[in-house]
Amino acid sequence: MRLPAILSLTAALAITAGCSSGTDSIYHYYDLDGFTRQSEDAGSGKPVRINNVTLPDYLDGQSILFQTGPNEVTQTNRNRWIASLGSILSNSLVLRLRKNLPEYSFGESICIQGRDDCPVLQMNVRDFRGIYDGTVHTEFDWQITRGRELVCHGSISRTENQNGDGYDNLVEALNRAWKTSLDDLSGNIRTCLGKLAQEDLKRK
Amino acid sequence: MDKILTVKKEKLYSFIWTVPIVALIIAGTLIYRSHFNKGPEITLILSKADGIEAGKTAIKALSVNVGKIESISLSPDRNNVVAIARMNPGTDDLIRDDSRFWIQKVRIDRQGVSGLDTLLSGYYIELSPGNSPKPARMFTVLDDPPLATDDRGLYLTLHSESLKKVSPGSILKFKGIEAGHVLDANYDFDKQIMTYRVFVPEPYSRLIDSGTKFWISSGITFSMGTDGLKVDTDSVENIISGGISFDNIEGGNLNEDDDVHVANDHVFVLYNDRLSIVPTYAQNRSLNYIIFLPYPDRGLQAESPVFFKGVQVGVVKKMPYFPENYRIFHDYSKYTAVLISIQQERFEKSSLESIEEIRQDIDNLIRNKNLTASVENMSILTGKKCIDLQSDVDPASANRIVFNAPYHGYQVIPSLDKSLNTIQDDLSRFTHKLATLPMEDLANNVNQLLKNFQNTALEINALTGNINAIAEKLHKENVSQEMLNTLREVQTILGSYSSDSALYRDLSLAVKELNSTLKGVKPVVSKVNEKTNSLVFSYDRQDPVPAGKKENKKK
Repeated sequence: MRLPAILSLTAALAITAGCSSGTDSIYHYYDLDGFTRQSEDAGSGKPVRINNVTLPDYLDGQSILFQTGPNEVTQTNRNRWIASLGSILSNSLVLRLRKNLPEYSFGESICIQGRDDCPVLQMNVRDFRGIYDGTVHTEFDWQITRGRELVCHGSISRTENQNGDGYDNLVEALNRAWKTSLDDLSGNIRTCLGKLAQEDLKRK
Repeated sequence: MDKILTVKKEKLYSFIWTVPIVALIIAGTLIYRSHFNKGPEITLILSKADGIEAGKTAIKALSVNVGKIESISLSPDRNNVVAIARMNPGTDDLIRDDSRFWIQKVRIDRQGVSGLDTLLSGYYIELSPGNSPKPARMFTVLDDPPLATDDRGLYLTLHSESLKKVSPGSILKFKGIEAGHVLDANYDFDKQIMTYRVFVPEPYSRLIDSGTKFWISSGITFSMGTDGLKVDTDSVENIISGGISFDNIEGGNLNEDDDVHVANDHVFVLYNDRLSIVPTYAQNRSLNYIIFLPYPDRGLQAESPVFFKGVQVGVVKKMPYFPENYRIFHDYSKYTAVLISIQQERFEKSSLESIEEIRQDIDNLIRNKNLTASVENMSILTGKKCIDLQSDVDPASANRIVFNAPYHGYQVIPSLDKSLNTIQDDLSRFTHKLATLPMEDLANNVNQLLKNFQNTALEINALTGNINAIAEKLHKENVSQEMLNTLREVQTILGSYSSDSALYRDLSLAVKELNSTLKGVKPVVSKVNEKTNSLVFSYDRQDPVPAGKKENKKK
């Protein structure tokens, strides 16, 4: 009598184990250029304040936006950003600008908001997604204001190819597109703030 | 040694013969069981065979299988469905002449949802076993369950002149408790009334006597009567579902002791609502009189009360009263006839006097005490009026209308023409009130008030001058320096809230933290909104795999 009971118990356990291991519950977390590990000195150049990067609601989360068809997008469930995309982009923007433009001192609370002599950079990210055709797309608007004056503004959009399948490659492509865009932005900011300094000199 | 040859005697029956014998016994048993151990076969007539399947649909009594439908076919006239059913053995007692069958299926009605089990098991036919000694083999299957399956109770008939309809199946309620059902509702075209057949089971049937009142419980009833606004509400369930209520209303019948228990098929009046239940007065204890009014009074109508010495002694029966063959445009009289009824039961319940004695008393009052009827206001709010009978009215009064001859068989009570009189009275009352107003005192008071006002104005002027002086003094005494100091302090306090202060930074950080927390909570809230049970059950979907650029792959 015992043997059949043991056998059925073993079978039940095996079935349960089989069912429970059927779903892989591992989550993958991604970072942009390892921003969590980086630190860049704010420097002691001319202060430029960076306001929070703004994003649409559907981007500002931990899900990665992936376009699966011409009119269909999905928010990933198991492949996620390590933090909300807004905070990742804000931090990476500050670090990249500090690295590219050491003559300025960038920071989120670096000078008082609304002070007339402190330029403020504002960025609005409009797109940051992987696309089913094997590319990724990033796009943002930026503007520099000082006091109530709009000093300069522009939009930067970038499409990069994804070099292989999977989310590792997608994030790598997004990272590349974002870095290139920030490098372009750095160039624009240098020109813009340079002009502003010259104008200030002329005024003086 | 000689061999001894032994001869074995062969068995007459071989063992192998037991096999066909056993088979024969089994076959015989089966044949017996299939032919002789069967239950009765019955024929069921159905209006249609929705959900009924031959060989599958069961017949149940109190959820116990007692038979099965064997075949279904159309009746020869093609108007019905004929189902042959085989009952289980030993069920002969269940199928009597008064047994009832109905189709059990999912029903949603005012009593709730029933028969949900048939969603899984399929329709079945329910049997309510009968008690009749007479057996039967053919039955008509009801489409709906019979409302009264237990015959112990009362079957009553209710008549209603109202067009408010109560549908069969509606509930009868006694003080809000379910106490019966409406079985049937028909319109009697000859009498032009609705006739309802209702069943009141025991023990509620014991509550019903000849004085019981039935009314349609429509929910909430408002009525504006001579004595103000009346509101009557029913139980919440009745407000929602409607139905009929009954009760032995106190005062509903004048002689409640006379109420007797009723038998089956007793006819009751079904009132429109509870408020329209009025006491019924015996016709043989009422006296009818005519009074003439010089103008049609809109406030006076049927059921308006008739008072004598402040006691209601009757009601207006018809207003106006048109006798038989009356032709209104041929009547050149300026008076309108009103038929009133003096009801003995209203003022004398014990019937000490006969109705004839009361008639003589009233005649005596008319002749010797100048009994006169007049129309009086009952409620200013509703404009309702009543008739007041007064004795000892001046017979020489110019407004008294006296008709000595009876009017179409009814004796006439003299009445007062108050059309002019009332206006004159009102005018004189108004002028009297105007004349008695203390005009002189009023004028004096107003004068005093004006003087007081003048004084107050002077005081305000003086106060303004003082304020000016104080302001000048303050200026001279260099108060502005103190003000400046106070402002500096305010500036310091405000500085602690400025954007480069520590407090501001702390606040800013706190807001950022809060913002980030809310961002984290947002997806959870969205997920719970999409799938309420996602907090308990995991909806772990796989992500699509992003493919690399094909051109790159080719390279």
